[in-house]
Amino acid sequence: MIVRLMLALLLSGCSQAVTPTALEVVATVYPVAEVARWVGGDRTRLTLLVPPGVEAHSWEPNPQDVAQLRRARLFLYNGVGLEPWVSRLVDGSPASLHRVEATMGLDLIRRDGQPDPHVWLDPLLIAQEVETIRSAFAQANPADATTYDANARAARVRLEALDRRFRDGLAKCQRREVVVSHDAFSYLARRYRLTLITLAGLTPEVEPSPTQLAHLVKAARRANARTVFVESLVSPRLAETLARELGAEVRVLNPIEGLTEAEAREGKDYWKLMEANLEALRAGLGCA
Amino acid sequence: MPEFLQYGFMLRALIAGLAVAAICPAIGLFLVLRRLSLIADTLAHVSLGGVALGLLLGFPPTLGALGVALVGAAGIERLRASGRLPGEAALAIFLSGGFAVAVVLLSFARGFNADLFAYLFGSLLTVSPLDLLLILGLGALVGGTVVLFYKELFAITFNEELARVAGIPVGAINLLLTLLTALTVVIAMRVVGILLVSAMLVIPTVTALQLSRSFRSALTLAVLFALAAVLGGLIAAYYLNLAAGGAIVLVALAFFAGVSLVSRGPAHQNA
Repeated sequence: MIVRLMLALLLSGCSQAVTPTALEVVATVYPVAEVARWVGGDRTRLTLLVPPGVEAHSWEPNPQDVAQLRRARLFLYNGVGLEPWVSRLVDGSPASLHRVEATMGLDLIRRDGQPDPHVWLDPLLIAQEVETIRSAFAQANPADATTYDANARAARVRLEALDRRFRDGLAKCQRREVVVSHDAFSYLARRYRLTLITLAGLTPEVEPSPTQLAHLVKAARRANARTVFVESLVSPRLAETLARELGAEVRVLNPIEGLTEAEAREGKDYWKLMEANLEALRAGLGCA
Repeated sequence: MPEFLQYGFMLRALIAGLAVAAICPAIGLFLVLRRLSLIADTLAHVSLGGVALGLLLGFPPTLGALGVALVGAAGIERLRASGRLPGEAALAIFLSGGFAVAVVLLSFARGFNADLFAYLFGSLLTVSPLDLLLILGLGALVGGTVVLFYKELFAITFNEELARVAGIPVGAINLLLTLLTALTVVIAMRVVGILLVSAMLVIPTVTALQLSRSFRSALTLAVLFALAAVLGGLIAAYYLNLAAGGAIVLVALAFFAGVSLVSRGPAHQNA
């Protein structure tokens, strides 16, 4: 891919007049920014709005973010209710700004009428998202369309390889029930035929009632769970209580909503975190 | 064994709740009779600053709350004792000041909402064995100190001047009561949350005061009301699918309302 990128850079060097400046792109959350980085490559100036370690839901734009958006040509957001502030944010930005919902046209999972926004945990869904974002880039900056094409193709190849690793890695497991403290993994579970045991409608802010917690303990006991998974951005106390109740161990299953500062420093990204998720699942479910 | 006690988390919640119920009215009675009901609420808000500090710097928030509440208690007592401000004004300054510090600190620590909510609304169900030890240890410390200084606390509650003449170090005992309140607030925070802490100190106490004629019987009754509120609240939360902290406070309020309706006696005569 690097060779191809360099080739693309060389080629564009010959026709420099076509792209005098890099494309200004603003993305809301990490998963969308990551796809934009795959597609746009080095020829993009990418701004991520929601900073490391902050929940997308509770983020509030400040004046600098709005100013940044005025300079941008392309605005990418996840949609599906993950960023309830998007309409307020783009209100009044110039008509020249291309606005694209990355999850457009995907087969969404609904729970209690609410669609689940965590599509990026399914490599094949995010491969479709790559295509949406490629066409958005090509429209915003037709001059570099061939580069975006090549980048998108490379990303899809890599995503299909990731999908195969998950498929093979989770093919033969002692258990297929995943006890997890928060409901973010329905796309992953659908793709790889896992059953989630979570608290229905549980949000990170609100503590469950004793009744809910007792139901969860019963369900996990029935499934003979040895592991309770926690998501890394949210307090693990609830899962630790559950694990203590079941005599189980606690492992991290990262919903990859964002990178914490520590994760960013350690050079973690979507690929590494997905591999870590696969390892955690294989260990927790006893996969061969 | 009843069904709701078959879970370790419910058992720990019950023990922690009962420990808090035994301690809170013991402190609450002194506070209510001295017209200092709001001091618990103030210290709870001040201790939120310590929680925020803990979340921000990565040490246990309960320790932060404990440290800040103790310092805040000493500060309140000094400001109050100096006589430069009316008692409630000193409380108002500390309440809003403590909360403001917490809000500013939390704005640095964005993304810790889950933890913060656990401290605001209580998190009785996720009490760990270590938390339980802390609650029982601090509870024993508060209870033991009250027993040890019962005579002195009683004396300053009923007549500070008389106590002073009798040779009781009024300033020191006042400070002791405020520090004990700070400890109690930090323990109770785990059970009902910062926003409802003062309910545990005040409601069972005023319920008991409507029925009893002596200090000692008021103390006994207040503890009984608090224990019943925790037990009833937890059972209601389990079978009716409610938030535990709020259910406990509502049961305590129901006792208060019931007793107010039934009794028209001692409280009115005393007042």
